[in-house]
Amino acid sequence: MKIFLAGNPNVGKSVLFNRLTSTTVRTHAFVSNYPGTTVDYFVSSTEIKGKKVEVIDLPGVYSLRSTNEAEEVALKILKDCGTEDVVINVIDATRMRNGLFLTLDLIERGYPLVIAVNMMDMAEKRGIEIDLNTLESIMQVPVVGTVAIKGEGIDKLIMRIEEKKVGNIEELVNGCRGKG
Amino acid sequence: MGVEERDREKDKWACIDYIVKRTVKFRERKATLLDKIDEITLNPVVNLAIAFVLLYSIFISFLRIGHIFLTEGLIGKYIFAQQTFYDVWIHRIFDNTPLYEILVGNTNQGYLYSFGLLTTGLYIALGVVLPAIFIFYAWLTILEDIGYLPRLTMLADTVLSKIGMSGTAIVPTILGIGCNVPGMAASRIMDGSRQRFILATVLAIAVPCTAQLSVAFRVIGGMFGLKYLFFLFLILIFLYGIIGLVLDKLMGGKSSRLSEELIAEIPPYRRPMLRNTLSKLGMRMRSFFFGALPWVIVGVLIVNVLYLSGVLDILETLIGPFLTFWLGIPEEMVGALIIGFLRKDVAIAFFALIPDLTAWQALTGVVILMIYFPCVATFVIMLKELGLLNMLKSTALMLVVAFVVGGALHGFSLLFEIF
Repeated sequence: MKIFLAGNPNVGKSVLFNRLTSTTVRTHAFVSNYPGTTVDYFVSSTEIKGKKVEVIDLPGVYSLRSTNEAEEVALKILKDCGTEDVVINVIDATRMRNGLFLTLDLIERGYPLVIAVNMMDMAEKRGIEIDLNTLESIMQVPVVGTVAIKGEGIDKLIMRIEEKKVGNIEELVNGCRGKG
Repeated sequence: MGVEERDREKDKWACIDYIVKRTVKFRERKATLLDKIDEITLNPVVNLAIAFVLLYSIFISFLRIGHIFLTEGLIGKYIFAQQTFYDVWIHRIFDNTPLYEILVGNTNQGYLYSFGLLTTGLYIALGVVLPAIFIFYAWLTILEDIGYLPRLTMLADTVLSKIGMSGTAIVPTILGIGCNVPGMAASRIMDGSRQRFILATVLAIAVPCTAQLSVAFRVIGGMFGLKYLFFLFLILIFLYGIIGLVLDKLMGGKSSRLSEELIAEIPPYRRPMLRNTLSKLGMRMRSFFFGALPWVIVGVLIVNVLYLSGVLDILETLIGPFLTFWLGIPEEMVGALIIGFLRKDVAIAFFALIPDLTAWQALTGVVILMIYFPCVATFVIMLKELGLLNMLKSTALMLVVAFVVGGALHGFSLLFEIF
């Protein structure tokens, strides 16, 4: 099985990647931050619940419109994503609006999805409350809150990977229409 | 973007607004310390002041920690110097062997100017470049993990969008100051091939890497004083702007500003996770050590072979007269300029050996060296990133700019009688 980590730059993807793989990262390049420093990406093999998995840290992108090379690279890598695999969409809890655009793109392209709302502690500190249950019922895919930097929510995320779901973009967009 | 696509995007944003409204609530609360810092630093004036303070701190730590302490006080004193354990050892092994010229050279002139693979080659790579790169990457990684870079990007956007790039270009540019290779590789983050070409070209022309800077520090700063170093920076910053501007106009200027959506949601400052920061710094150092450093040593080797085989002398006689006429530099410098095709730092080091070199000539030479061609490693990456055609275009531009600027500096000195 393959696990793809997709998200905007600066949402803690690389920290989550480190948490998921937890062993030393075998790689040829580095991961980085804001409109990133490179579009190279990490791949690491690890074992989750006794199963061999490959974890792939995609370059940070804001959408999948392939307007820049990072997005093209992300799309290319995601071509390998089969029905067995899962895309973990990492969203920064303090910047939900930005993150959700990519989420809709991921749903539109029909990848099996799990959403990790990361940096829940930062959101808490800034007085932002996120209703994860409602988010899950709207998106129709599993949603887990995490604090990757402290390792919180990682076990739950791993537990729910198997529940991954392909969302329905038309239903979602139509459902929102007129309600805004 | 077609009409249909734009409608689709509008639908998506409407949907997102609905979702956010249903799931995200903002509650009144006390501002934390980080918040306050956050708020203050979003002010453009404060932001700019911080940027300058940071740049100055980086510069000073290069000088104090990197150059004076690590390079001269530690590595250049206890390993790469005459009569050290290492010096005695290589002399014992290689003295009077056929490889002596290539491997050791003339250590009486000090390790920076011996031109042997095991002396100058290793000293420049490990003693001069590596400490500087370390300091640079340490700063970069910390600033990145704190969440400072997005703010810098936003700040840079106002300026850089005038020269055909979005603020995103500031990160590859800063990376390029460390080493042009990762800077060049990071240029793919730019939107579209147009912005990428502009960035790659200004990087190659106007952004000197730490290797060049550290040697320029030693030669220009050491011989003629800090004044000339500042002048050098001014010229490079000016070139960065003017070349971007010209390319932007030539390639049909269209707005390159970051979209409002991105600017609206700048990530907050955060405490970095030490382990993450250290492992990233480690990876960067490793990648530089194995990716770029070997080229530095290969460069010294090629220069040595060309030098010993007399090819450099032939080139010198062929292009020399033209260069001395146009640039007003002494004949001895021509050889250094040719070496600079392969190794800028070695070339700059060569300047120190030229007798009666004036400050202005040294400045002209260093500026040309920095402009006209990137190092071998950067060149390889550029070819990979831009493709052959664009790389050739960019190279042609570099040569033209080098000759124009060199000529202009010469003219300037004739006009105002500065030497």
